[in-house]
Amino acid sequence: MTWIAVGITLGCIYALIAIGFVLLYKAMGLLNFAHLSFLLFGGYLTYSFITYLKVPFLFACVIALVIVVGIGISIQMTMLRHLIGKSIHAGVMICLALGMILNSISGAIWGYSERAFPHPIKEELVTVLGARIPSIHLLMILFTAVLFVLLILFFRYTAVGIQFRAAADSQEGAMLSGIDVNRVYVVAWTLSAAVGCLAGITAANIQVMDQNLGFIAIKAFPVMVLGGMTSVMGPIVAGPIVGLVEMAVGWYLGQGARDVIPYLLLLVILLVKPYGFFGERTIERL
Amino acid sequence: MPAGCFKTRYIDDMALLGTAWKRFWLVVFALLVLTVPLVASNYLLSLLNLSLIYIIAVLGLNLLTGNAGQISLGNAAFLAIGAFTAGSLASMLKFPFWLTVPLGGIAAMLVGIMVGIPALRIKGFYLLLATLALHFITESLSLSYQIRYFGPVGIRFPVPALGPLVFDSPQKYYYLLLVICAGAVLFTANVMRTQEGRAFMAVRDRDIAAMLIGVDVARTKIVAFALSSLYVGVAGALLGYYFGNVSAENFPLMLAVDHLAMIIIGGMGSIFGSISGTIFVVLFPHIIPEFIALVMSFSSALGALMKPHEFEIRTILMGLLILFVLIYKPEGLHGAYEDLKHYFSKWPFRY
Repeated sequence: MTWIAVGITLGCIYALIAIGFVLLYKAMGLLNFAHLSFLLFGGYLTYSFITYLKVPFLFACVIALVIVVGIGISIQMTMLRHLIGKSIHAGVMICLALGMILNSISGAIWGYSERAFPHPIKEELVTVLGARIPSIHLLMILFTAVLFVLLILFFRYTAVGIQFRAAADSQEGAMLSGIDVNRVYVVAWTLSAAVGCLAGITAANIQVMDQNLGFIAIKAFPVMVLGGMTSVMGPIVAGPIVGLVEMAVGWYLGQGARDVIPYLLLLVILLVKPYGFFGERTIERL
Repeated sequence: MPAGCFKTRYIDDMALLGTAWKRFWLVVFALLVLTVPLVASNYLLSLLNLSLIYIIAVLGLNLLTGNAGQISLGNAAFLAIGAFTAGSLASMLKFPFWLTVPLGGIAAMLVGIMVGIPALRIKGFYLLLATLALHFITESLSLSYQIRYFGPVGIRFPVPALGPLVFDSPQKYYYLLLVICAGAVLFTANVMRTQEGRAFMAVRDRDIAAMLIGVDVARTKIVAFALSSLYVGVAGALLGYYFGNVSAENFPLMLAVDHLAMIIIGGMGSIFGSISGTIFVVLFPHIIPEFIALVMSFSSALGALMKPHEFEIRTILMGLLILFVLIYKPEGLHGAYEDLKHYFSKWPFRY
C-alpha cells in the first residue's frame, strides 16, 4: 500500500518541522511563525547553489545551512532582546512580521513559478516490505531517523544539551547554576534554524517547490500539539501518526478532505488532550 | 486643551463627550467626513469605503484581542462566513439587503461562539493555533461550497438597496457605510463602559484573578468571541456588496494578518487605534509607487531593482513597520496621539 509509505514520509517531514518549533518553544516559550521562512530559504538556497553555481548536493546543503542559521542567530541577537518583559502576544507578532518580511524577500529573489529540485540520488521505485516507494522517500525517512537519534543523543549526553534542558526547565535556576542563558538561546535558534533548513530541503525533494513550500509547516502544528509542545520526543511519535491519518483520509475520502483533516485533528487534540502525549502541564500561578 | 477636568458626578465622568471642546471637535470631524465625497475622486472614495468596512471588522478584532486578550487569526474566516452567508441568501433566496447583512453577522456569531467554547480551556498559543485551524477549515469548506453551488466565478451580490434608496455609486455606499460604521464605533465605546467591558479587561489582564473576584470568565470569553465575530460577519457581508462578487480566494490568511497589523499599528484596545490603523494600512500601499520614484531619484539602479517588486516591498515595509511599532512604540498610533496631547497640555513644562 503506497499510501502508508507516503504517509510515513510526510509524517517524517512534519516531525522535522515540528521539532524546529518545539526547540524554540521549549527554550524561550516562543512560537516562531518565521520558521516557514527557514524552510523556504533552505530549499531555495540549496536549489540555487546546485543549479546556478554547480555545487555538489552536500556542499550546497551545508552552505545553505550556514546561511539560514546565520539568519536565525541574527534574529535572536537583534530583535528578541526587546521581548524581555513583554507579553507573549508581542513575540508572536514579531515573528509573524519577520515571517512576512522573509517570505517577501524570498518571493522577490526567486519568483513565484515552480522549480524542479535536483534530486541527490537516482529516481527509482524500491520495494520495501511489499510496497513500492520512490527511493527519495526512503532516503528522507532514513535521514529523519538519523537526525532524531543525533538530537536525542545531543540533549542527553552533551554539555550544551544538558544546559539547554536546564535553561528550558527553569531560567532562574539555570542562571544561578552558572549557565549562560543567552548562549542557550543562541543554541536554540541555531538548532531550530538548522532543522528548519533541513526540513525545507527534505520537503523540496518530496513535493513541488514554489513559494508555498512554507505552508507545509502550518500542517506541522497538529504534530507539535499532539506530541506535546515542549517535548523533543513527541514529534517522532506524532509525526507519522498525523501523516498516516492524513493519507488514509485522503485515500478513502478524497483530496478535499485531506486538506482539512490536519486542522480538524488539531482542533480535536486541543479540545481533548491539549498537552499531547509527552507535554508537560503548565501550572499557572497568580 | 483644558488645564484640568473636574467633574462632580459619576455620570459626568463617564460621559463620552465630557468637555465642550470634545463636542466641538466632533462636530468639525463630522462635517469633514460628510463632505469628503464632494472632493474625493471615485478611486479614493472606494478606498475609503473599503476602509470603513475594514474598520468595522477591526473594531471586532480589537474587542477580542485588545480588550479581552484573546489573540485570534480567525478574522479572514469570519469575514468569509459573513460574506458567503449574505451572498447565498441574497442570490439564492433573494433576501433584501437589510436582512442579509444582519444574518451574515449572526452566522459568524454562531461560529464565533463555537470557537469560544474551546477558548475556555486553552489559552495563549493554543488559542492562536485553534483560530488558525478554523481559518484553514473555513477556507477549504467555503471553496467546496462555492464550487458546488456557484462555480469558480463566485457568489454574485445584487446592488444594495434599502427600500427606495439604491446604493449603486461609491458616493451613496459611502454614506450608508458611514452610518453603519458610526453605529459600530458608538456601540463599541459603550460596551467598554459597561460591566461586560470591564470584565473583558479583567480577563485580559489576569483571568485567574478575575475569576477570584467574581467575574464569570467563561461567559465573558464567549461573549467576547460572539460580539467580535458579529462585527466581523457584518463587515464580511458589507464587503460582499462592495466587491459585487466574492469567492473563497478573497479571504486568504494574509487578510487576517493584515487586520492584526491594523490593530498593532493603530494601538490595541482603542477605538482611535482601530480607525487610524485601518486607514493607514489601507492607504499605505498606494504611496509605494511614489516611494519607489523617490528612491529612483537617489539611485536609479536601486529604483529599477525595486520596480517590479511592488507587492513584496509593500509586505516588507508593512512587516518592518509592525516590528518598529512593537519594539519602540507598543501603543501604536493611539499612543503617539496621546503623547502629542500630553506634550501640548504640559507645555512649556516637561512633565
